[in-house]
Amino acid sequence: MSHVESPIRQKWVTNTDYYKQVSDDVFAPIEAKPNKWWLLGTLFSAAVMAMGFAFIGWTVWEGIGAWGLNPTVGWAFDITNFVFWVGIGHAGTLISAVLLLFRQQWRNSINRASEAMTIFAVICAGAFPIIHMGRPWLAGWFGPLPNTRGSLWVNFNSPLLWDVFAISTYLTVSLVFWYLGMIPDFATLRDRLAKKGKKIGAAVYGALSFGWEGSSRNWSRFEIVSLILSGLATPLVLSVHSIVSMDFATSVIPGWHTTIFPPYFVAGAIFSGFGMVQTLMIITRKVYKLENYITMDHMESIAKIVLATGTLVGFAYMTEFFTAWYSGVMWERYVFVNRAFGPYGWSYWIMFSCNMIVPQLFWFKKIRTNMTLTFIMSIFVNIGMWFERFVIIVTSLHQDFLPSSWTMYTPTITEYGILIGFFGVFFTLYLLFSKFLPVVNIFEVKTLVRNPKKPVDLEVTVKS
Amino acid sequence: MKKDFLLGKYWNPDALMDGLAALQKQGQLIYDVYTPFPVHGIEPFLGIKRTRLSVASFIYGCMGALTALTMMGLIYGVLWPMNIGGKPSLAYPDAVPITFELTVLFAAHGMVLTFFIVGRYWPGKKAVLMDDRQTDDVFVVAIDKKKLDDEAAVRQIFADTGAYEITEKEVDKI
Amino acid sequence: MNKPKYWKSIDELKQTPEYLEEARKEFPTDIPMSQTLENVKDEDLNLSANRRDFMKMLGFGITAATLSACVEGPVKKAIPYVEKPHDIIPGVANWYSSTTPSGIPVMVKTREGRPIKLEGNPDSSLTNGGLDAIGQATVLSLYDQARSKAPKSSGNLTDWGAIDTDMAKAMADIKANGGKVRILSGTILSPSTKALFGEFLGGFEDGQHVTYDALSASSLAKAHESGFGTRAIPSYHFDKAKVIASFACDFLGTWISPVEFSSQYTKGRNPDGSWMSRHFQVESLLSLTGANADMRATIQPSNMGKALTSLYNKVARKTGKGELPGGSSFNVGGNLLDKIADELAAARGESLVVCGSNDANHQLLVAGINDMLGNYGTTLDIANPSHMKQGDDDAMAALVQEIKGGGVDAVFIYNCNPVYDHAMGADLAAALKNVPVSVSFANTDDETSKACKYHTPDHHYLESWGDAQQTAANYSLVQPTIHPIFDTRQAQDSVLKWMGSDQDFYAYMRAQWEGLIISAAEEDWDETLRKGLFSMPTATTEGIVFNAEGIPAAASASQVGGGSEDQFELITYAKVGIGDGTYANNPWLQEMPDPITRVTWDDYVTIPFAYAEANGIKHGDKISISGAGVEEIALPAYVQTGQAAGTIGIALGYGRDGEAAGKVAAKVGGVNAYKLNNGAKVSISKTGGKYPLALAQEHDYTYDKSLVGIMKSFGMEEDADRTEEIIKETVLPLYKSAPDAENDYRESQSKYKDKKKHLLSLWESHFDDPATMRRIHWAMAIDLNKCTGCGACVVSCQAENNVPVVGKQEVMDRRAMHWIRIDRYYSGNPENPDTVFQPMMCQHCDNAPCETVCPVLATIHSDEGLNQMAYNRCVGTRYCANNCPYKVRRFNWFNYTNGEQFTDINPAQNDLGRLVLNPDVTVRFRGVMEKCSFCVQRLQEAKLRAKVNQGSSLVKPEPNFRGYTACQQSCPTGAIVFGDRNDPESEISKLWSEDNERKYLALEEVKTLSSVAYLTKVRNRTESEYEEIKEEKHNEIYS
Repeated sequence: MSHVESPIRQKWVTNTDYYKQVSDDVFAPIEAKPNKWWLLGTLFSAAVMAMGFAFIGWTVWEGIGAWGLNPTVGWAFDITNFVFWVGIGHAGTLISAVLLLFRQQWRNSINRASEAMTIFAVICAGAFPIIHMGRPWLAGWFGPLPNTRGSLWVNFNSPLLWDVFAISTYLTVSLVFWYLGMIPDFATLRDRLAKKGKKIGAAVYGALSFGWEGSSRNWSRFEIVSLILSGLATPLVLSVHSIVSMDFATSVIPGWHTTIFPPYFVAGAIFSGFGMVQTLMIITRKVYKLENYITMDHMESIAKIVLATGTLVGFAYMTEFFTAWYSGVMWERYVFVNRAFGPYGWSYWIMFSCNMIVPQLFWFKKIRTNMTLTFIMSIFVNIGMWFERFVIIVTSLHQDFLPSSWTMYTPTITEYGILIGFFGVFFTLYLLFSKFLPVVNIFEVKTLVRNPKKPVDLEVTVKS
Repeated sequence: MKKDFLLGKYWNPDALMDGLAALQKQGQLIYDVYTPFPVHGIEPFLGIKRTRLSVASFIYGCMGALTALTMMGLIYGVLWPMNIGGKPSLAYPDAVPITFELTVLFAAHGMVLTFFIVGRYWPGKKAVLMDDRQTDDVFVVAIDKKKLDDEAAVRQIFADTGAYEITEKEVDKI
Repeated sequence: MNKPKYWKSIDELKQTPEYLEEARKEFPTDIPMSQTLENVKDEDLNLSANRRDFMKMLGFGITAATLSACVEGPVKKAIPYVEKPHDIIPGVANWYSSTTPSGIPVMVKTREGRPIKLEGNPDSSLTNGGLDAIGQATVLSLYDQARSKAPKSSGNLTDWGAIDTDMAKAMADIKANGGKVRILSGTILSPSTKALFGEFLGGFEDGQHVTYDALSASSLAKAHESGFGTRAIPSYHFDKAKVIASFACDFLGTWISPVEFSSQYTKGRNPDGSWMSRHFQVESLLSLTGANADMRATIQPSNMGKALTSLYNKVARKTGKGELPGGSSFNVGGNLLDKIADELAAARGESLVVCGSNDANHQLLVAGINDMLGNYGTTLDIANPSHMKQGDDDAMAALVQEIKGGGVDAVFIYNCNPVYDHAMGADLAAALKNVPVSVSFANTDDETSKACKYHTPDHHYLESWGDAQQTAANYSLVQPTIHPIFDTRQAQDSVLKWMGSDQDFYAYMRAQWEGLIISAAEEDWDETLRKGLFSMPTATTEGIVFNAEGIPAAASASQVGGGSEDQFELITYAKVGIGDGTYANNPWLQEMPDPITRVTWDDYVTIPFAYAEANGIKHGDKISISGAGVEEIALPAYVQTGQAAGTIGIALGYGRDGEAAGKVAAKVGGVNAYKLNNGAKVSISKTGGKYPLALAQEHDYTYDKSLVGIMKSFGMEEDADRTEEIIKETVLPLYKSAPDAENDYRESQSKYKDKKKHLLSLWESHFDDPATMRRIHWAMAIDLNKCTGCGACVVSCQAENNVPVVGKQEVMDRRAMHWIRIDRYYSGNPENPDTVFQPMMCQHCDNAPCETVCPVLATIHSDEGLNQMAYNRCVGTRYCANNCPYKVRRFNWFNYTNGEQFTDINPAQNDLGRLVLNPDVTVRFRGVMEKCSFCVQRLQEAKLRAKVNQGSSLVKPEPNFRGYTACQQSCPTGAIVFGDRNDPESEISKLWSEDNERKYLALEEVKTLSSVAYLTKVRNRTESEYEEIKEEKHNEIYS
């Protein structure tokens, strides 16, 4: 709709005069031969993934005893990773859905990659509730399946069951949303490859494109569908992490039993999600030379969101302390003092500095626009958010009610292995995505191209 | 069945809009317009009504909610009331999250399925193209030759509004 | 009128010859011979089978059947009774009365012919149905792989015949040339056995029976010999003593007859009774008894004599008796001795002074004090002495010398292991080599039997006949409950055989009883055997006078001086769980946390807190110990609060010879403290090495001083110690005067009870409406006053519920599987703290946090108030355990029944050990959560019994049944009460009534509505004592 564009509006696509140019740039990695850096990267992360799976195998073979858990600290790395990855999985849908609702055009060029990130993250997250089970082969029992034992259904009161519903809904819906958005791009790719005479590619992407033609009728339905999907996805995003937070909020354990958790977790999720978006985008735009579409303005707006949410989260931390003190409940009070100054105080301060203090640097434009710094900070954010979940889970459990049962928790090599292994899973998936699928939503970016020039290879046959 | 089409091809969406406006003034019925990205404001020229997919998804959503509530209500409320943690067997607040999730699940998937069905999309469907660049950087106005009363005028309109090419093509279309 | 004639077919109607022919045939159609028989002549074919064919068929059939029977089918383990024994009903337990080796009358629960559980005999007037941890565990020793499986002669397996011939010859020779024969044994409770041995020895010119005890009380008997002329140990009556002064005497844990004493002791500890006993403890190490004392002071063992003399004189002054040399200047714990003297004197004839020291002088002084107070005849009974310890150390020493000197022709060692558990064991082992005939009856290949020529293994007591006489008046019987597992023979039977008698011991014993014991009371043998108990009228104490002339000598002899600064006094002591080390190979006992130190699976040296602080010694620092008469040893340190300065403690019962005692004992290792000289002056030093101890309770976090500092700056220091929310304590005067037993939560509740009821819960309980009130609502109450922390319940629960043994590493990882644990909390000055024990098991909350969070409904609530756990449904998310405020849920981290890292320790991994498993309880698989079930299988049994008796569907089981749960059953003090809360008849309903001031729930404010109530601990202290100690406690935490 470029013709109704007001000239003072911010430009989200720089020095691009031809629509084709967008396709050329975005499809470059797909059409080109895989370069060796990509190969190396993929192989490496695949290896890491394999190691992770080996450790998971060991756990399943040996039993949860292979981890450092004990009756007092029944969850640690497993659920920490779960919540961490779910959190990561929030930026994508948020960008594609919420920003679409708010008509934020800068989403157009980053939504594809971040949605991909979402899906891969949620896949990682979804694995943990199963891995952490004592008898993972019975995971099917989470489903509300009728059986011959009459009343033996699932427990609809259990937040863990809500998780099952939330995560599965979230995964499938964002998967659909993601795929739907790719259909027109697949069509473009199909036709390009067909023109280039690349039969297999054309066939494959043709099949994926569902025979998209781009007729106005399709477009009008398509846009409504995406709009409603984002309308559905927005509350879904919020619900998912609220429900995850209820795993803790509905319990009786001091430090978990808090009504602040849903908003606090959602803010944290967006924060960590955007942190990961930063990490990925900075690499992606550099490696695939997409600076024209993922511009400095994009990175800046992301940084601003990180700053905002980071501060929110920090505020939540302090609110928790205030509430604990104000409640006068000795258990609460003790847990929070212990959280910050007890044996696991170090993890608390890692969390606090990474999530609360580091993002404050984003107040300065110089830093927002310095990609190296931003990258490093985004890593800090990821670390900080992982530790947030660790702090919440372990420090609350390891010294709860009965002093007789207080204990420390020390992770084993297996747990580290699984933790690292899932970064392998995540990056393997992302690298494959970046090679075989359009990392930028072409057709939406094209809508941002202003006053396009006539394609050079187009000869005019009409005289007027 | 085979159809003959008169195609006006543009490389600039603004020009396309002008062309469509002129054609409408001429009273020419347009078969369809093919664009690489959604160009807003085309619908009126083609007389496309707003889709009712939103209504569909609302209905699907209601179905989801109903499923969740009846299931939980039956199991805990009617068939097998249980004492779980001393709470009332059917505690309504506990039913909220699952009800919500199922609502979204049904609404989203139901709607997308309907979209694929009404738009007749399926994996591996063969696309019928007016121009092999229509999904990339070319905007094609297609006019069914049978519905064409004054071909010259139409060609003229195309020419005046800056179509770079005017061709005819016979393709397999409903 | 003529009836109609019916017919079925035309043929029948017409009666055609074909039809008649057919009708006469056996089979309406021909048997198809041609297919079954190959070599049939054609003419045979048209007629039906003749005799030959029948024979052929028969032959074929049998052969075929035989051949098919030769095919190996799947092996089926379940063997049905072809002919059901009349006394065995599959699935229903049989109970037999018996007696443990330590003389505790028990009922043996057998299922399908195998003993699986021991329970104290509830009719016993001694123990009132209690049973200690060791007693509970003896059933597992029956299935011990390390038991000797056949007789040995000079180390080689042989058979009984050979041994008997050898012995017959040997005995004959000795008789011929008048040789010396000695029987060396531990205390023999069995009168019949003693009679038998006497008879056996009588057959020789010089036969002697020498008795000693690994945990000796010899000097106590000696003291009474000099006091009363008869060598005997009086029977004690702690239940009659209003003031108990105990000097280093662990009578609740290990001294003489702990189960008996525990049940007596707690009778006097009821704050609601007319009086509550006041218990002073003066000791060096923190013992179980000291942990339960009202007032406690520490003392170096070398000062014990002085203390006793000083006390003697103080009491003498009060009672107007003659004082002794040594004066009364010495004192402990400020002026505690004066206090003790005052209160003893105030309660003459109703007080009791006991001393654990094995020094005859000390015991004589104590006897003197008791005599001055006129306690003999009331709280001590010398006329009806206790037989629990019959050892005579002097005789033993003499015997060892005699054997060393040679000239002893035969030594029979029965019911003891001197090579291991006697100071001169090594000498004995060496000396035994020169004894022509040395026989050991031990039922394991223990250290002694290795040193003997012959090893004729005895039955386990659960396989044997026998009897016991605990005191002069109390008898009980032992009967076999299982066919002997190995090729062993009861020692008494062997002796009878070698005497040339063809009688077996059962006949001998029965003759003894019918002749001497029950004939007096005209009791019937079978009835007595059924009850397993028998008691004589007690003898009168009239005319027994105490002869005090030995006392001054004793006093002056015990004025030896205290320890120096750099020197430590080494104390060897017995642990509640390990005892004398006989059961060192019993994994249940090794895994049972020591009540005081909470250490499992390890030997260690206890270091006084103050010294450890000053020298930076931590748990598990290796300490090397050396000194006069002690070759250098190294042990991990355990920093013990409440231990006298200048003392170190090393437990007995460790350091068993690996292949002698068995795999478990070998795993534990340690130092054999019997070889150390008790009371030796030693010096200790850190080797710098570390050795991790497996603590079942990491107490180090309770008061993190730095945290307290921070909380102080927030003005929240009071919140640092939350134990008071779990443990409620008060003292007698306050309990009597103030309402609500100082339980502030209760106070606040009573405020809100009426006007703010709606604020207490969001929804109405499932148990409120009258319909459910008519049902059973199981509940438990645990009296913290009665719980001595002995740990019997832990082992009992383990036996009842097939709780796996997980071993040291897992315990170190805090993964002990015990369903019931005894939390131990200290308060006050670490140099002499107050101790409180709290048994903690699943609280079966009516608002159970665990139930709400389980995604698969593996744990839900029964309408009888039980928090049920469905193992098969559990997928192991561990969410329930996280959400349990009491942290009582136990997760199967590994496959304990198969994992190779548990093979050596978990009895459930070998076919023999598996026999002890309770068939009524599932063995849990890995990845499954488990927890206390309130012994639901036993509750079910009780309900069924009630159904049978009442025949109604809405049954009310026995209101005051002592055997509902395993922990309740074995508790020697009856601290655990269980029953139906809705039954007004039951004791539990009274304890649970709102006007029971002492009743409180742990973490009541979390509103879990737990079904386990605790009764506030009431210490018998004056308010002033209370105040100063309270002050001390407060400073200890918050300063």
